[in-house]
Amino acid sequence: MTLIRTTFIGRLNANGREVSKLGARLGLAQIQAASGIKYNRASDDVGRVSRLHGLREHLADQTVFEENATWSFGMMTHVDNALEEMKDVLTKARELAVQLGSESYNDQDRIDGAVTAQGLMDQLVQLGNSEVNGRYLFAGFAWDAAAFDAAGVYQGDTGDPSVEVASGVNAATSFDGSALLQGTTDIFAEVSALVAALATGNATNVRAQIDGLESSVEQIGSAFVTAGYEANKADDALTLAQNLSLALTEQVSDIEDADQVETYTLLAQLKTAYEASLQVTSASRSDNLFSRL
Amino acid sequence: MSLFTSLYAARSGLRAASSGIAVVSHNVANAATEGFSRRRIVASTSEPVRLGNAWFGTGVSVKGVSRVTDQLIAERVVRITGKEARATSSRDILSSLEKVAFDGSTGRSSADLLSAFYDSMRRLSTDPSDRSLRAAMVTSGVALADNLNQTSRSMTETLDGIVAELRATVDGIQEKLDKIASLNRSVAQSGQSLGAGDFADDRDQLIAEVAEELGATVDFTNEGQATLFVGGHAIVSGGVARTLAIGGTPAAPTITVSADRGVIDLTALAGGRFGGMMDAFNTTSGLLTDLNTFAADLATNVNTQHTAGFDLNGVAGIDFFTVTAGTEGASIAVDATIEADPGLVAAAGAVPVGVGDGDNLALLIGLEDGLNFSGATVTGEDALADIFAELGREVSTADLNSQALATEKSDLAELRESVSGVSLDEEATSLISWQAAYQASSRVVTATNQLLGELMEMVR
Repeated sequence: MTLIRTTFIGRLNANGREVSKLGARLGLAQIQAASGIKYNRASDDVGRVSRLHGLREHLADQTVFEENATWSFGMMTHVDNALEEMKDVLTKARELAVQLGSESYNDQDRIDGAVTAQGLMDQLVQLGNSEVNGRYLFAGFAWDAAAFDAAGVYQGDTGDPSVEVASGVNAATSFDGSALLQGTTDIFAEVSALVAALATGNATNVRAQIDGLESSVEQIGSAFVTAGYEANKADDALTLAQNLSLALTEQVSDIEDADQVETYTLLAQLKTAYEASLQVTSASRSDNLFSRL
Repeated sequence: MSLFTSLYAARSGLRAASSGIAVVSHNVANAATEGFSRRRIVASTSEPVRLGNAWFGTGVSVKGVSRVTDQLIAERVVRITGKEARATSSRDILSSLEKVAFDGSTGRSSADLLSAFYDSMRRLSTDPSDRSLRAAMVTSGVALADNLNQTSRSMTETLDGIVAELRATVDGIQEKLDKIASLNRSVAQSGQSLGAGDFADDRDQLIAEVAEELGATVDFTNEGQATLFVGGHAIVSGGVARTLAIGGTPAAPTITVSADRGVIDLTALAGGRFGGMMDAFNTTSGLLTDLNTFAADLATNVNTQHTAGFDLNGVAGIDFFTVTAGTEGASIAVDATIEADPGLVAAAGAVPVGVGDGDNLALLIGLEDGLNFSGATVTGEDALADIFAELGREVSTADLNSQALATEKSDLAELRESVSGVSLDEEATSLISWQAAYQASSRVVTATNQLLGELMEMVR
């Protein structure tokens, strides 16, 4: 060990520098303990800037995805209910066609049955015009007006409203009714045809509608599949967004938040070192030969 | 050998002891003076006289007062001071800029607001006709634009502040250079007197300050003259100081020195606080360019898609953001007519517009994950992350350099102090020995005087 000449001022300056360094570290530790945050600026950990930005963006996205998925799932529940009721109406129409197509009923019975069938048609149109808070479920983008007129002619547009429920994944919030309810089989046209057939009182005409009505029920079945698929997508997205929110919050916290135990331990250590350093500096005040002369 | 010779010798002893005590008191008085180098008496025996075959001493002769210094250490201190000042200055400027630009604690950084802008579109997609959701999207756009304006303003203010400080710094440095030249002359004129050391101390203190300001290096001649250099060009040589000047443009300031062969540009050569400020200037300037590029890309991307859609009235979309070329960061804003009427947000993809048509909105949202920034190489979020990472990297590097150089500077200061600093213990010892020497010499005077008196009595 090399002994170099030391001076009072040199020692005092060296002590001062140590006190100053410790004071700065103590200040930082106190801020960390008070705020609970260790990452305030990019320079705190440059390597994590990009990651932190990405995590925060994804975390913020999850909040919207949760809202959107909840919204989509809710709308699909309404669509599902409407389709369920449509299926009941179409089943009743088919049963009516089977029943009144039988030769055991006379022509007048069939003509009277046309009134019942018209009632079913009205019900079906009403269900096609299902709406939630003024939003028609089967009107495409033109959801502010009824999707079908009384004859079942489509009044909406061909847009499929959707919302983003996960990154790059959209789920429907309502449908283009012309595709969903009139795509392969026009359910309104089939019920209208039944009404017309019953009005003729001819059993053969009525029986001829049964296949079309069965296709209509199948059309509703496909609509169920489509709506169910969208509902499942929204539900899965909701679960994913909730899980991701938790995971991302944890990851952001790992980067940003100070470890409380570690922070308080460090704070205590620095406080002790700072006080000791102050005492040493203070004690060196009168430590020279002049004080003994 | 006469009694008078003894008396003269004792008198020289008294004079030497007085000088020694004066030097001790000067040292003790300056024990805490920054840059002070302790003094030592340079004394030797006086010319002896010959009487017969014998040589007799005639006392002590004080030749002068010397400064105890190590020029190698002094030169290293000057060099390291400039380097440390450069790193610290750059760190301090960029660090305060970073605090404004990257507010990680509030979640209101431009990256957060960019994400919020796209999220506001996602919310609008639940009902593209909803005016409150449209207004929320416009508000998000305004908040993002405001944040970019603010960040850009901070950068511009930083640049302006640096240029103003550069001017003030150079004015201050010129005064110091003139003073150093003047002190060089004083040192040359005053030889080895007690005052000569003070001139040298004052000059060396100023040299340290110029090194800190400009990163100058120093060479000392054997005669104790200091020559100051910046990048190999002398700015003070002996008693002559050259003239520094700030020139260039506010966008590219320069520092020059007038030399015999014309004006020399020192901008790239200067270190110290000046160099640190120039480093911070160049970094900030680059970041401002990046921010302008980001704002321009954002406006182009959003506007291109926005004009492809249709607003609530079925009219083709107009530019969502307005920007002024060259100052995109400072000027980007949501179009005033859209801000006044959120119905002009072109969410729909076709006409006639269905109230739920959010097809164009979906394409706008898609921009968030597209590689459509910085020459179509990165996403907007990554472009911003790159800007902040660059700033953070510069701050972090300057901070690490500053800390390392501060430690080196402290070590050198300690070394310098060990050579030139005043040890109160040594001075106390020195005081005791000079005091004893004085007392002894005065006893010799008394005794000699007594002998002379007795000699006179014999004559009477």
